[in-house]
Amino acid sequence: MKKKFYPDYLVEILFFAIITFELILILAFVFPPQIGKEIDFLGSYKPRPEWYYLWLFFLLRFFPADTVFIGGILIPLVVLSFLIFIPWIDKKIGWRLTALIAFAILVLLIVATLIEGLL
Amino acid sequence: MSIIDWFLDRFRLKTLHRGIFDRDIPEGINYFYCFGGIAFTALLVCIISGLFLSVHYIPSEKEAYQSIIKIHEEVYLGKLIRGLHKWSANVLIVSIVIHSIRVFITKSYRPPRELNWIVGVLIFVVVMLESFTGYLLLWDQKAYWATVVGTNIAGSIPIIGETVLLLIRGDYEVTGKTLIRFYSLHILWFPLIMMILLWAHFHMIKRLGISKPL
Amino acid sequence: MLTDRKVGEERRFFLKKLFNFLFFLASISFTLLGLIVFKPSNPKRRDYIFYSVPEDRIPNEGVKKVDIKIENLSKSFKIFLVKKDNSLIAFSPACTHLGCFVNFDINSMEFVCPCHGGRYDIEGKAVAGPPKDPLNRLPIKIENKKVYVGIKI
Repeated sequence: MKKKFYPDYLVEILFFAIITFELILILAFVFPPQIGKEIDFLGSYKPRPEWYYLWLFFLLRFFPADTVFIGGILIPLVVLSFLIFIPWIDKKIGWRLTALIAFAILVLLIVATLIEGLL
Repeated sequence: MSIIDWFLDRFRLKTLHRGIFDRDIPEGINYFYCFGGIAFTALLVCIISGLFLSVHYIPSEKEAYQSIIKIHEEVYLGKLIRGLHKWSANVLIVSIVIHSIRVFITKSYRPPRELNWIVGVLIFVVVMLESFTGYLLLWDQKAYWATVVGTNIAGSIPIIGETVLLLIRGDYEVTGKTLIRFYSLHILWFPLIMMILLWAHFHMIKRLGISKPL
Repeated sequence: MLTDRKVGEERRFFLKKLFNFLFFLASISFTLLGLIVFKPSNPKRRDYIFYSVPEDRIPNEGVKKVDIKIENLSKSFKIFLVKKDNSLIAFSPACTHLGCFVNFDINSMEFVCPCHGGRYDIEGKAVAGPPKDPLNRLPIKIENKKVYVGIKI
């Protein structure tokens, strides 16, 4: 029998919504947020962003002061425009090649995040 | 029940269920199709916990840090709400990434759904900006230095860099002006933009239907 | 009849153009207004204010980190004082790459930036990592044998 949106899929969606909420609740209980140190300009502090910006932070290692905007703004914009134009790029060069580029970008992001996170 | 019917009738929503419940779901979709819904759930948790946090938070240079401590230690359930806000943001980002990978693999971005893909990418950008502006509101060491580095990147653009830096920071340094600016962006501007984009996203899903799996 | 319809079409076309134009105007004015609102009212380039350095914090030779208390802001600020070949230099700790505060590594006698590992030698010159420009020097005044360092705050 063909599954219908109502009630079959709706029940599944609600089930996953509840699971998500539970997951967030458990995470909030098990790993509660900490209070950071108050701002001071005296001690030595090692600034690190949250994990989802680590790749950008890692990228900036390779760009000296006069070309920071290439790593900090231009490269993210290039990646972003690649994402936006995926439907047309796909038409032009085919799905496999697009997938290859996207996969390469994803792997690079994950590797950069891991390197910066473990450093 | 009659009062609900009365409301539905006055809003002319009696046939609403037809739009929501009577939709065609193609055969053969799997559980990876859930991640859009999971992301939306996480966003809802984010919005609701954020509403509660904004009651106690004070966006000022002197009091921001103290008010965070107060939320954490004095406010009833404050620690839990902070945790919900933080973790739902993390879950949101992860599930958006998985959702977009799913859409890419099933080739759902192909016509007629190109615009929906673009709107999705824009939603992701807004979520990233939300998390960046959310950083500074804690006004601790991590927040401060992350903002210094982040805004210095924007300031490094040739020619217009200094103007952009001034527009973002409101001053030459990261100060209380930056804090209140980021607060406004975080709780008003970006959520508003996100609402509009989300409406467009869902509207297109409703009109175009879920793409057929391969 | 035909001409009537044509006139109606033209009018509709004109109205459409007008509405497009008004929409365009509204969005442009909203953007401009946004830029004006976001523009800071009077950003000041801060002037150097001179603060005295306690005598025991002045190095005879080498580098010392000096914490300077700014009374009216109840903040403290760190600077580096370097004495080399009988000349005293004061460095601002802000890395010239992205503005993180550098630390002094006593083993390698270098300033190290904790963000991206930029290194400066004892005279403030960038020697490794992403920074290119030397550390900013702060002006020093000596009056009645007391040393004052200018800080922008």
